[in-house]
Amino acid sequence: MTNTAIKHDGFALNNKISLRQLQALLFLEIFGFGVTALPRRVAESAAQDGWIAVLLATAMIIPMVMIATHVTKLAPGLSFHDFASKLLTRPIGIIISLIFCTRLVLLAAFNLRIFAEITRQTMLPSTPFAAVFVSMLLLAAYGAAKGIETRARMAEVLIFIVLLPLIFVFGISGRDIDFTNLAPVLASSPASILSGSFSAFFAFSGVEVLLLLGPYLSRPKDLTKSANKVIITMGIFMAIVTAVTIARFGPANIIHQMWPVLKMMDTISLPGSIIDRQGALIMTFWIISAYATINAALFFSSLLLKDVVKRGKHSYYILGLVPIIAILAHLPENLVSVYDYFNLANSTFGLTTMVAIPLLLFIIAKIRRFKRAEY
Amino acid sequence: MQLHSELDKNIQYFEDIFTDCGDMVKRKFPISASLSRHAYVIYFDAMADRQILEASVLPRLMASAQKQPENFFVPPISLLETIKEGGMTTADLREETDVDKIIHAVLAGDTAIMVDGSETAVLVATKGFPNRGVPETSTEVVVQGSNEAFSEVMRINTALIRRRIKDPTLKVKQMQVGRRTVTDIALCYLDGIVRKEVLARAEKRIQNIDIDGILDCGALEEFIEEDYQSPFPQTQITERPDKAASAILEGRIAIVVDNSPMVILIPAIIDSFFQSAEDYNQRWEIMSLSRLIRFVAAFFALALPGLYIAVTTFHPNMLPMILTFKMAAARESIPFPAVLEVLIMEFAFELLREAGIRLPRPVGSSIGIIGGLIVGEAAVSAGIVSPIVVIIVALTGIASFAIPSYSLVAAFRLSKFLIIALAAALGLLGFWIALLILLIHLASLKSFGLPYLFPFAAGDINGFTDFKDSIFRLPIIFMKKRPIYANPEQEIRLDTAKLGNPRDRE
Repeated sequence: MTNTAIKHDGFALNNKISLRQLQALLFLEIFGFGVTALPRRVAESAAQDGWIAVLLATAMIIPMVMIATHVTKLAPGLSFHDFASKLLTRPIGIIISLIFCTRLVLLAAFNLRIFAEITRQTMLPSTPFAAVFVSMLLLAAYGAAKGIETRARMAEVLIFIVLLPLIFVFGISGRDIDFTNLAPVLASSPASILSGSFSAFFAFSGVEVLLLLGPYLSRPKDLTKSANKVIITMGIFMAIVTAVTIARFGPANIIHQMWPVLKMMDTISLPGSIIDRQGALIMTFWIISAYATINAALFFSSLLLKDVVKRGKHSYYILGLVPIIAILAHLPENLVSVYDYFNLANSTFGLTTMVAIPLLLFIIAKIRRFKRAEY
Repeated sequence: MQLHSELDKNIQYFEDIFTDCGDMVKRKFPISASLSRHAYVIYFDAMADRQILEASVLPRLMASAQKQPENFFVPPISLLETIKEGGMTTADLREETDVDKIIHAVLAGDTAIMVDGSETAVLVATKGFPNRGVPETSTEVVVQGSNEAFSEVMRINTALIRRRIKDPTLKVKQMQVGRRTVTDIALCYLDGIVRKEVLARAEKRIQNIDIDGILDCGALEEFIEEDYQSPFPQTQITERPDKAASAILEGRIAIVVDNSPMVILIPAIIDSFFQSAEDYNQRWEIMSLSRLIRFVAAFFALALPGLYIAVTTFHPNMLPMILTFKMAAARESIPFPAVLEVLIMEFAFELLREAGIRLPRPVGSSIGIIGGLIVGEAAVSAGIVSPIVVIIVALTGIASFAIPSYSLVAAFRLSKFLIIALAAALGLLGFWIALLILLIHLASLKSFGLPYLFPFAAGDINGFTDFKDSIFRLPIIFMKKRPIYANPEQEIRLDTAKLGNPRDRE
């Protein structure tokens, strides 16, 4: 299909998204949540070289993206579960889909909890978690129930609302920044940089939904290129944000900041502004990022369940997942255990969906000489 | 059913059908020299133009027919030929044999003439009911530009459009809706420029309506929209012929509904509600500023009260110290929480607006003075509301009048209360959640397949060219391509080849 062919096919294809929309969706889903704690997590092991660790992580994620998109492009018309079942028999397909679904549910629950924690600290100190959980989850569920097209159009609008405050804050932060904090470059040991990049790797959590997008792309052919573009852009953005944040607080201080990027937005003095503290800026950035991530996780996990059960609409499954996510988000007692659980989930389910499943599908498809579908 | 050849049987039939129709004129009169043959005329009083009828149809018919030989009306010479030869001075005649069609034509204002011995009736187009001509614009007033507005008669409305677009490809496709009202509906569009799928969708949706009556365009709108439950309008309504003509040139469809002084424009996206007919009559820089102000006004009309509540009740530390103190001092003696304060004022404002519509025009302004000035001032000095709330609500009200579309403002007015409620419950978080709910809803809407948020979302379908006429109105010379509404095969509207460099114009 050529570009013009799509233009002539009415205004927009039903239940399909353009690659531009895909990029906006991926950016929103991954970036906001990935970046908030990132400078601390990389500085913990790589100190002032944290930004190099982020770049390294970007370099590590690119091959995974290429493999995942290659697998997606093998059969763009099939849902993930159908494709996996075709390649590996139905029982294994179901298991893989359920692992995937669990991963996304855990991701949503983690993000919801972090969102509630930050909301309590910055905005609503006396509002109970339950109110925040319920309102945010219902919002995300409403957005997810509307389907992929609505999500894509939302993303195109929201991306500006997220990026503008970020660029604004980092653009005028120059005066407060002490770049000597970044020196000496490459003083950390290669091992510590590597371990930092392992943490940074999970800042890209959510990228695995590329595997699920096949049936929803108007032009699956160029998926790899656009996905790579947006991931590289995101990696560079994250590296810049990390470098600036480390430079602002210094590598020794930053590890005491739970969410250094938010702290940075909050404490930068804006010249001549009527807003005394940038609570509003953080909130725009933060609420929309939280919405985008939880919404994506809910949407894709409900899709996976629907494809496994092969019955009903995906919105019914969203309704079922909402209480599960709320309960999971409520389980950890404090922030430390939240991050412990998260690290555990990442190194098990996370690695499985981000690395193992795409690799497995890729290798089996190669061995079985799975023919690429015509499109 | 077909007409009978015996006139008396036909007369009996029509008499039966139109029993107790006091506004009907029926007359049987002789048309041959020997008075042995008769004709029968029916029409509705004041629906048909009596002047045409009595000056140029009936007298000549009677006079000429009496000169004819006795057996003239015996076939094969048709009745129509005779009446034409008889010197009827109107061009719009047709023959009809089907009784139902004759009834419908007569009900629509035509005159039916039947004669003895003929199974064919002649229908004379005499539609000429009283109407108010071409009125002046009342709801979409501009400073510079045409002041003509649509009126209730479909034919006048289509003529107003036709006068602006003198092109044979301007099609006026007529349909009828409503089992009893048999309302005429005309789809006006430029063949070749309109998108075929949009036209097909519109036709199909109109044809599928099976209701006893459609009296105005509002009811029709609900039937042709994708999401009738949404408070947001998915079709645009205008009373301005120039706006309709400009929409048609862009490839949109204007739906003219008989008896409605408003014309429906489809497809409609949120961007189109921010455009005013005047935008193209003024300098582009100035109108770009106006557009920007309208978008800011939309945000104010929607979000200002909610934002105020969220900030004052939950996050007073966001504002500079002095402003916080000022606001706190103003609210010091107020017995209500900020939400209640805002709701009281909003309610008062809605009340004024509602009352202002019903009141006769001369009294309307005094209500504005009493309501706005006296009650507002008294409420502040009585300590019921704080002056800042009065400012906020007044600003919200003024902002809502800056948006050109009444129906979009109505949707904003309703959404405002959602934002107020959530902001009162969860502060800024609630404010953002409400905004996102609205945005999700808007993103899910489509108007005849076109995403409602276009070009802010999905702008790449048209290569982002639609941004040239969106938040800013760039010079018309920049807009070489038609907007998204047009058939992509016909996307070029401006040929700049002969224009040359504008700076070298002689």
